[in-house]
Amino acid sequence: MHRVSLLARARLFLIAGWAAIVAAIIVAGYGAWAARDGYQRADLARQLELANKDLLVGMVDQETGLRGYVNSAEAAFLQPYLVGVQEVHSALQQITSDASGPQLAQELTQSRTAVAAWQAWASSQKAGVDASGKPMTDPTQVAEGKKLFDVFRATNERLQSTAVGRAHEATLQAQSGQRLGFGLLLIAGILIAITLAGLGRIVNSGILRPIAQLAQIARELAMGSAAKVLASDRRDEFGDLSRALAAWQVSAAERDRLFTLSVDMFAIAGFDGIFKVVNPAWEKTTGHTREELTSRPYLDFVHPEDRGPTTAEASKIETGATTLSFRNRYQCKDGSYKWLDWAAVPDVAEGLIYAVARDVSEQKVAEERIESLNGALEERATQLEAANKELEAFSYSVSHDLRAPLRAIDGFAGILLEEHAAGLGDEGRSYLQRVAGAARHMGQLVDDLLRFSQLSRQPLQKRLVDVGQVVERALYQLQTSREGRHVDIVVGTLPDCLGDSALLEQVFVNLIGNAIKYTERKDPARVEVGCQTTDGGPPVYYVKDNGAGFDMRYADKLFGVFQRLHRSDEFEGTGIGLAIVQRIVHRHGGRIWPAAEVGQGATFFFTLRGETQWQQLAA
Amino acid sequence: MATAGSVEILLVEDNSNDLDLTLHALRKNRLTNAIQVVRDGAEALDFLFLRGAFADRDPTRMPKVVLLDIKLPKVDGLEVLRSMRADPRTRTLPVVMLTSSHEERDIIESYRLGVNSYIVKPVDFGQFTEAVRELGMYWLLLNRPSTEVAA
Repeated sequence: MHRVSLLARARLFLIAGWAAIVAAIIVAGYGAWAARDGYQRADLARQLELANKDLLVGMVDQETGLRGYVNSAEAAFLQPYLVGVQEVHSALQQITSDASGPQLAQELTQSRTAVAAWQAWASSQKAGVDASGKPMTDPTQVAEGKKLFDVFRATNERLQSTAVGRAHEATLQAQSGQRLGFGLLLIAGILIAITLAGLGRIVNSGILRPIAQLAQIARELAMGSAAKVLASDRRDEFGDLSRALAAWQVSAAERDRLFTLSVDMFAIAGFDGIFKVVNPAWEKTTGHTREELTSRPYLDFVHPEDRGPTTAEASKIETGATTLSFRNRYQCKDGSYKWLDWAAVPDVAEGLIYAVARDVSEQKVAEERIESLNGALEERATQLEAANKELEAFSYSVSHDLRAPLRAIDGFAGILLEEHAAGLGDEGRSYLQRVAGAARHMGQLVDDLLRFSQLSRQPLQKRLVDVGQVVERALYQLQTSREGRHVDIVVGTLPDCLGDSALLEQVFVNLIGNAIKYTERKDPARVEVGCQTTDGGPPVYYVKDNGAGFDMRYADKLFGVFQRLHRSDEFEGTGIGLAIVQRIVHRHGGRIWPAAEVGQGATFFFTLRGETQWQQLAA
Repeated sequence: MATAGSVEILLVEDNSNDLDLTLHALRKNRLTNAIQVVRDGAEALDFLFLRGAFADRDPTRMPKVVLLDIKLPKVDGLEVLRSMRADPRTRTLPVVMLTSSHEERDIIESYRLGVNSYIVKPVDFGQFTEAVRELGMYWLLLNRPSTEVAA
């Protein structure tokens, strides 16, 4: 929409109006001037006309007097003649003063020439009579005089007609000029009226009325009672204004909605300690009505213990400080207290505090619970740490002090068997051998137990591990255990993994060692090491054998410390190997599970990383 | 046992069972020529630095190897080792830790202090005898003591 400014429109209108008025006045002025000029000229023409008539009268008087004098030679007749001479003289003088236009000048000259010609003839006639003293009756002279007078009369008539024409013409010009002047003055008047009316309209409909409307809307907006302000489609300043007002109303309405619908409590408090404005959330949270909240000092509602800090905080704010998180307790209508968390800014000039409060009672309870939980956890951690230290001390002393007597039992039994065998007899030797064997077995148990407990204390040294190489090293360690036996060991493709390679080697030593041990009575014995990869899951490594297997009903006992599913006279072992394997797998974040059947063999599957960890890594 | 003559092995052991077994193993391997036995760390230091009961012994006779238990009354094995390494007279004297401890921190600390060998006494007597034989062969026969010690 192209914007058309009211100001521009009014200015354009004024310029056009004034230009028309000025033009009309100029033309009217010209008309007035033309009228005046016409009247002046008509006046002159009329004066000429009168003078010309006077001239004729004078000439006629002269001629009459002369004729009487010539015919009678009596001096009495000279009187009119002499008067006529005077009259002609003054008339001619008047005529001479006006000689506008070449035609008139020529006619005047002709008239004067004709007058002079007749007066010269008349003088000669008078002189003849004066000299002779008797009348003259020369007909030629009479004819001559008549001819000359006729010439004069003709010029006089022509001049008269010209003067009359002139007067008429000038009068007409004056009249038309007058009409033009009046007409244009009238037009100018009308134009002025139109201009004024147009301006009035612009002022009224373009300015006064919209101003009144906007003022009304603004009043209503201020009182908060305005209906929706319709943005006008006017393309002028008032359009701009009304659109701005409409936009303002929308944002004010949003602010209002925020103020009314907010769960947080908004308040404006005076430095006098009394709330001026509170939003509906206050009533919902505290149960007090707006009137109750704004009629008493807010300190009345604050928990007695919190009044000191609240007053201190308020005076800090009154000096211009902003508060971001201040907590105090407010009493509700039902007498209970709620924890409020405050943020407040002052308007020092106005003496007001703008504050937002939030009910954090539940949060406070939760925080207290977390705090007490944290305390309990810390206590537990301290206990755990102490227990761990005790355990460490315990295993240290186990490794020293428990093994020493076992070493003595085995050592002295050995010396007896070697150096005093003869005195013992077969039965004695057999018993002594079993004493030594039991001591060695217990030594093994102590060692296994220590290794197992060390596993959970050592930190993992995780790095990228070539599992194929780890298996190779494990098989090298197990060389002696398969001496004298034929075991088919098949190693499939094994993907690299992230882990502690020494511990992983232990896992494979134990699992493959078990497989070799439990295939003792199989021919051909077969051990398979491999890996299954599944969609989206971590790789599953496995060690499979075709050995003795076990009953899956007892599978949950497999991984317990010193738990065995076979008697030790069937298969050797302390029952710690799988417990160690499981602990290592768990410490890597993976899991281990078996699949087995009695007499058909067993498979141990394990992963080295949990499903979620793997997915995070894959993503 | 302790002879007035040359001392080849200083055995520091508080446990009488272990002491007898070690001596038996040494005897079996014919390494008993000159063994000085002391029963705790303080006694070991007295012997090495000619103090207390050993103040009058011949200072030129130093052992060729010290077999040192870690867990000892009064002054423990690691402390004995630290003192030996701090003294120029015993700085290069070979020390073999002969102990029950599998503890990694003991092993690491021993090597940090400059032990020459670290042997965990096995429960199995056969293995124990074998270990003693190996260490005796190595330190007494193959590993010649430095001239400083000999002097």
